[in-house]
Amino acid sequence: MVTATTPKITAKDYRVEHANDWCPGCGDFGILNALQQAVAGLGLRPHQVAVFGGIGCSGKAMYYLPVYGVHTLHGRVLSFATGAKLANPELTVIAVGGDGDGLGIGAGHFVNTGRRNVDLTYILFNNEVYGLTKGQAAPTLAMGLQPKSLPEPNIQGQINPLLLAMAVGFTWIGRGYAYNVKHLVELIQKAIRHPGLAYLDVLQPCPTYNDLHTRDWYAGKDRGDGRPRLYLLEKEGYDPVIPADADAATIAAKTQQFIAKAQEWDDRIPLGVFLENRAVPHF
Amino acid sequence: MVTLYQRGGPATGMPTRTEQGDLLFAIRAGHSETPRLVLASGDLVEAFYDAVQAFNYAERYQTVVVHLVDKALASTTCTVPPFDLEAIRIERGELFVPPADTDGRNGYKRFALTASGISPRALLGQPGGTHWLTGGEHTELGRVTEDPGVREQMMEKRARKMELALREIPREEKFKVYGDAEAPFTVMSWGSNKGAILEALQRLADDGLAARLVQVRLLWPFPADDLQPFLDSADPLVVVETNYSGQFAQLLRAQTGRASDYLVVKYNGRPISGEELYRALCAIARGCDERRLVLRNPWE
Repeated sequence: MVTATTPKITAKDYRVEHANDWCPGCGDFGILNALQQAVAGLGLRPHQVAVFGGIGCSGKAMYYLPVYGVHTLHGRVLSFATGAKLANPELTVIAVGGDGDGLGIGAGHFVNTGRRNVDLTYILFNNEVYGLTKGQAAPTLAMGLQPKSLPEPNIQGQINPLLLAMAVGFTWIGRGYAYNVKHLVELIQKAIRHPGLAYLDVLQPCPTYNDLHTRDWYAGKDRGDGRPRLYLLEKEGYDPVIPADADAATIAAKTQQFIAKAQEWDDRIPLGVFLENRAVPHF
Repeated sequence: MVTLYQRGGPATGMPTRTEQGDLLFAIRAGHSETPRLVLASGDLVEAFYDAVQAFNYAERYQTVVVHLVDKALASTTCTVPPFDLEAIRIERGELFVPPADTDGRNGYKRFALTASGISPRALLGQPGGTHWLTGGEHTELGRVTEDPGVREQMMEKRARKMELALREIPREEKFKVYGDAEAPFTVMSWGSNKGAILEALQRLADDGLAARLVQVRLLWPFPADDLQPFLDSADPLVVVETNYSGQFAQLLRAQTGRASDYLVVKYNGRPISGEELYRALCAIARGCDERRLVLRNPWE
């Protein structure tokens, strides 16, 4: 539950002076910045927020916030976050972690958290590699791709986290971009406000190990016409809402629409709210 | 708080059969020297109250508590007196009381170095108590560190909690004595063997042989000092366990220097019966040559 207690709180109140070992130019800085602005913008005081981190570069984000910050076990971030929310429903609970943490070792927790529509927000920093351990293929890396740490192209298939999130029951699904902080702030706030389980995928270029999907690649600088790959769903009139009283036909149509958007990649990559399902009861 | 219900291994092993094979695992599992308490219940009534106490100790000592039970106990059905719910206390341990009107920027030290080793705990969401929690070694503030000095302080702080637990936990929770408390013939055991042992002791008493059971209930930290008088007067000292290697006997020897005179074990997945244990104890009372007696179920 979100309760504004003071209008005075600003992103500055969410800054923490603490040595940071993220690489220069890392997308994590954009996400942290957006997270600080988002919770401050909602008027939340630090003690009303608990941020749970997985293991990996991304999981350390909780050390740079003056909130209740819990660095958990590899792949188990959603279990800790769920427990905290059940123990104290007044808390705004946010889980942060990487693609390897959440979709590799943590895949079982990802799936089963989806079955319980607990009111928490999961922000997955998606850079397709295991950045902390020198750039091995993460579960989100497509088959055949070869970022610079791989001795040969990836021989395994990829998980599409948006499709997986929908399949297992996440009721709010969105995607942001680490270098579009303004848009990301709005997405994080929407995810927090959603009264159920929210999954926010954040495309987060890893400047050190992912030399394929770089900031320039997302910006389309490799293409002849220089057309950016990223676009905003809301600018194309996409309506993600499944109303509380939706009939089966509406739910089926929204699901089809979601699946089509969640599979767009390479040429055009959508950002924004993909799904807001109000038809599922929440904890 | 971890309920560890033991069964036969390895791996899937014997999923529907009992064993007391996890004692040393419960005490040592995990890397490094992580402090924990290990409690073992002897029957269903004990298991109920021990489960409550395990939660209380987890909060009081802010550490892992393993409640050891086994398949035989977990699958036992019996009639017991109604549980005394009025007698149950829920402890939350030492809680942090924040200074008035703060907003989480008061430098609260979640892992403050205290004489007891216990640092007052803030609950998530409490005003004025924000802090960081981590599985990494950490400073008093909860910041990850590999500083050698801080490491020593934190290792010593955690060790102090175990010393405190040994001092605070009452003797009757550490172990219980049944039968003739002064008798030198001493059976020492733990967990669900209790019922069979009490039956066997009764039959020995009917035969005119006085014997006692020392049922150890706090397995870690090990109550070596409290047990010492019973070890000194034990003759013979018979350890009874449902495992192959005598894990409790090993632990006892490691912690007190006292080896068992006789070890009675059973490791075929079946619980010990009063009848077979009575026969084994009779053999020991007659001064049998074997020092390790294996209980079997040849008819099954």
